Amino acid sequence: MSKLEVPFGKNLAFGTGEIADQLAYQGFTFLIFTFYFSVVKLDAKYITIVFIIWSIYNAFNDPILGSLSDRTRTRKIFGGRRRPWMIVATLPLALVMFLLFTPPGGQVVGGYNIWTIIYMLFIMCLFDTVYTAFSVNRVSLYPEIFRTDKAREEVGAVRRIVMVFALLIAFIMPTLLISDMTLEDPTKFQQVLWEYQFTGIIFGVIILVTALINILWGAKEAPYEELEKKKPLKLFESLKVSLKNKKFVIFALCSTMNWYVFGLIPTIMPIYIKSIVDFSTDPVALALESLGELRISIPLVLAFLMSIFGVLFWSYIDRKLGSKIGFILSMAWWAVVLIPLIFINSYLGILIIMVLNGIGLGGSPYFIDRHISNIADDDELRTGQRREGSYYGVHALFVRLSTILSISSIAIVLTTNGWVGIRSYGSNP
Amino acid sequence: MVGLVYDPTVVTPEIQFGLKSLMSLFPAGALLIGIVILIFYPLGRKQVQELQANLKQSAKINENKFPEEE
Repeated sequence: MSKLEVPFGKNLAFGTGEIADQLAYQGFTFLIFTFYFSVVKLDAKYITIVFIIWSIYNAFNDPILGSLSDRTRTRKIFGGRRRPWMIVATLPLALVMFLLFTPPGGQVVGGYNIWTIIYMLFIMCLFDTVYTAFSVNRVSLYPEIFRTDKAREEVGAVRRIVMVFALLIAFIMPTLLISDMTLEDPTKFQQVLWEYQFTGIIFGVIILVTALINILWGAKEAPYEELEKKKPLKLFESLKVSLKNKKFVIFALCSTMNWYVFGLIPTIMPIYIKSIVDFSTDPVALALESLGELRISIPLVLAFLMSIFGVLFWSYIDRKLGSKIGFILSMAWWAVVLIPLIFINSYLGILIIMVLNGIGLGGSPYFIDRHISNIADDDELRTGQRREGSYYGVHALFVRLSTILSISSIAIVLTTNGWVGIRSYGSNP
Repeated sequence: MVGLVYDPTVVTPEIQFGLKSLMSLFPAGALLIGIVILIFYPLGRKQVQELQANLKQSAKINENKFPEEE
């Protein structure tokens, strides 16, 4: 067995940041739509408007924070350019996980008002600001610290495995802590509201601990004197360079399609499972009755567990065929296995498809990181600058735009297929 | 007031088809678009190998490498 290029402890400490990152983002994606749509009973048209404004805000927020990160050079707050941002963002990120579920006017079922909608928009924007400040800086360190292909493969594999662990927490924990995720029994409203908030608190604590481990032992910065020598581009120059880089734009558009799928499936999963599977007659669902709400998450859990093997498989394909062909094959696999879901109504069928789905799912995040690293290397050869922050920031812009696509898809499909109920909640809990 | 509000008691076949589409046809379509886009991506295996070799040559490759554990 060949000697590891990156010490395992450092590798693991760097990978631990993936828990904070994925728990925050996937926890947010998994819960925010279901909470405001099925618990707060906010009309889907308001949710769609909030998501669109939020995505437009992100279109500016993400590249700005990425570029600011590239331009940061400080001796304060542990010093460097990425680590200070991560430190400053960690505590607010932990806190906002709780605040996502404390909307005003939500004291009774359907008792929302204009402030509920404004609060939802504000808290989502706040979440994304602190999340991006943490995440863009954390991921930017990956190609900066690990400069060889072998080091990136080693760290990339550990990151992906830790990421799956984080996703399992993000998808399983809410179903264990929340007794009725889609609030089918309105009399449990206060209880379910508190359970969402408690889930946010637990997520916040885990994010705080894992982010600190990542910052203290996994985040290495170049010495201050070295950062001083770098001459990063100004914000708009940086945006211009990123968007003029044909390789980057092609890759980012492709990545947007992947993130559309990442966003769409967890967002719709709770409502999809509850609407497709008849839990009172489906034999497999009945056999697993004791698991309660956990049955909503099991398909996602299986997919993400399988994605561990997916990462190993695609990492092998990467070595044999290269990142471009590997990425194409992983997307093709992913697309082909999802199509049969259109015919499936049984819980077992969904579980089987999600197991196969996991193999494809493992490829995308792995190849996305590999390609951004390659693009940053290519850029360095041409400009002499390491600008991962800018690339990750502008990439995040594309990713956030995919949210507009996914939430619009949900709104259009549900509206055109007649999910128009009479809102009879009002002041009658 | 009528609006698009989640009501777990009203799930028609049309809604079910819509939800299934969101889980299958929409993501599959998006991924196929992603594949078509990536075909035009110029950094293939050979180009990446050349890139790594050039970076090594410019002696920048190891300057930020993680230090070995003492």
